Amino acid sequence: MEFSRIAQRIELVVDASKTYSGSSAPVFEDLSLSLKEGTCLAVMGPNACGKSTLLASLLGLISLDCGRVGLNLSSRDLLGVVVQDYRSQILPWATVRTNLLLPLGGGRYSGTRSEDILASAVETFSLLGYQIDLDGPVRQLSGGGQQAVVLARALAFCPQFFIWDEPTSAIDLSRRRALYRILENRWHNTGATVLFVTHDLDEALMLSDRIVVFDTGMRLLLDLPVERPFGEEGWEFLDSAKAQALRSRVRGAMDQGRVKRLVAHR
Amino acid sequence: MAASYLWPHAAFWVTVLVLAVGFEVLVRERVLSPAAYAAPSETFRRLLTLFTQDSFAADVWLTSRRALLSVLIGFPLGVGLAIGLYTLGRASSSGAMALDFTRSTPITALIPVLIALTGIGEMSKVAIGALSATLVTAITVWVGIKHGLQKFSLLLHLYRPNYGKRILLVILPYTIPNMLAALKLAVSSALVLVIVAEMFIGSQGGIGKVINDRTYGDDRAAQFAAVFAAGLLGYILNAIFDGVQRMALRYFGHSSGEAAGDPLS
Repeated sequence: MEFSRIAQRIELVVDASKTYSGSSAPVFEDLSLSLKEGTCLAVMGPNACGKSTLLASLLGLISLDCGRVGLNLSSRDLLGVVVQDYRSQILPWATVRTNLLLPLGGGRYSGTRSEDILASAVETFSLLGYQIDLDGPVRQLSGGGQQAVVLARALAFCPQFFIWDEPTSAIDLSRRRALYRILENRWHNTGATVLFVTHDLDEALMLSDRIVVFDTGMRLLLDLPVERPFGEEGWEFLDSAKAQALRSRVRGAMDQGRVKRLVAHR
Repeated sequence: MAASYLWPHAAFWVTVLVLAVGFEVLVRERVLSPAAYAAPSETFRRLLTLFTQDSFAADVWLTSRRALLSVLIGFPLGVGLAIGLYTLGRASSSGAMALDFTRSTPITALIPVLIALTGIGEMSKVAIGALSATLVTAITVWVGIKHGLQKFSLLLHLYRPNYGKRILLVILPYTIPNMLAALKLAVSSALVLVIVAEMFIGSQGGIGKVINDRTYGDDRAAQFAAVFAAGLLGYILNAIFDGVQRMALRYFGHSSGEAAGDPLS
């Protein structure tokens, strides 16, 4: 496997293949994907199509059979990762405070004060409508509360790269609106680079600059730019005719993939 | 509800009673030789006289003290050994192999080595029990550490907490169920090994010595009574530590079925 990192800038280039041992079918083959700095890419596709494997290979958690991932992630950028199984990112026995400050210590992230992290997290909790006691154990929080702790921590350390895998799975719809507002604000205004996996088309339309739709084996079905009018609120955009047209194209691509899979099964 | 609760208990005690009566009849009718076996009624009577006339309580206390002292030494050593294995990093699998190999060697086979190291006095009995407690604790806690490292691999990869935080915030809290299971196993295994040590090494007292003396003194009822007392002591110690385990799990917020690595759970 050739593995190279593009120095000094965040730019993702994936050109790789991966097959799990014991499986004859590759998770993805000759996958090619690129992401420019300061943009937000939404990745969509059916379950088990290889999205999470792609994210795991980006994070260096699994090795690729061949190909390369060109990604310059600093240790601070890793703090911007939020995965679908938020329980794997928190210590249930520890307090919210301890969980939020877990990455600190040993003089890392110089200039980052624990007070700032806690203040940022408290602000996120408040915007999301959660009353969270910083000194209470995480295990006493609801699923949504626990996911909010992970999200708040990811935002508090101000990474420049976010990799999010279905980050709102445990958060209820009314709080999601507030979260989207926070993310829009943070991602678009700070020029962060974002790659997020979602099954929610409206979420993808609201937050991303580009949507890619994959089929099983990470075969690209659609690569669609989302050009939103500048300054338009995400929720307003969802009601526009343009969003409707984009929605139809994404759904069309997904239906096309479904039909292909059905035909292949027969 | 009462019937569903009572029935298994009643069935157990009825079975015990039937077996005891059956055994009694077999010994009394000399189907089983009284030279080799003691009838349950005689064993029970002898158990009472052992306590009232033969200062058996002092032997039980001595064995309990040795077993608990063994655990007191062996348990922290085992936890330390498991954490030490973790700090070996990539070499930890080699260390785990060595630990597994040592654990697989019967401790009784090491008795001559331990006698050579510690002599035949009090220390040898405790050392044998402590070694057994150390190994069973180390293996059980190591299983928990490996499981925890797997479960929190993403968290450790992303947030890269320093070594102190890894051990204090991730590994130790996660392995609490394993530690409690290990404590229970350590008590059982230390008790067994201490009794064996009391039987074979020049001993001044203890249940093992009583079993040995009564076996060679042809006092079959006392021998059986001492064996029964050893079992009862093991059961009581196990019940006490089972209670400790449940209370601690509740206190630390783990579910009672979470004692990962406990081969008995």
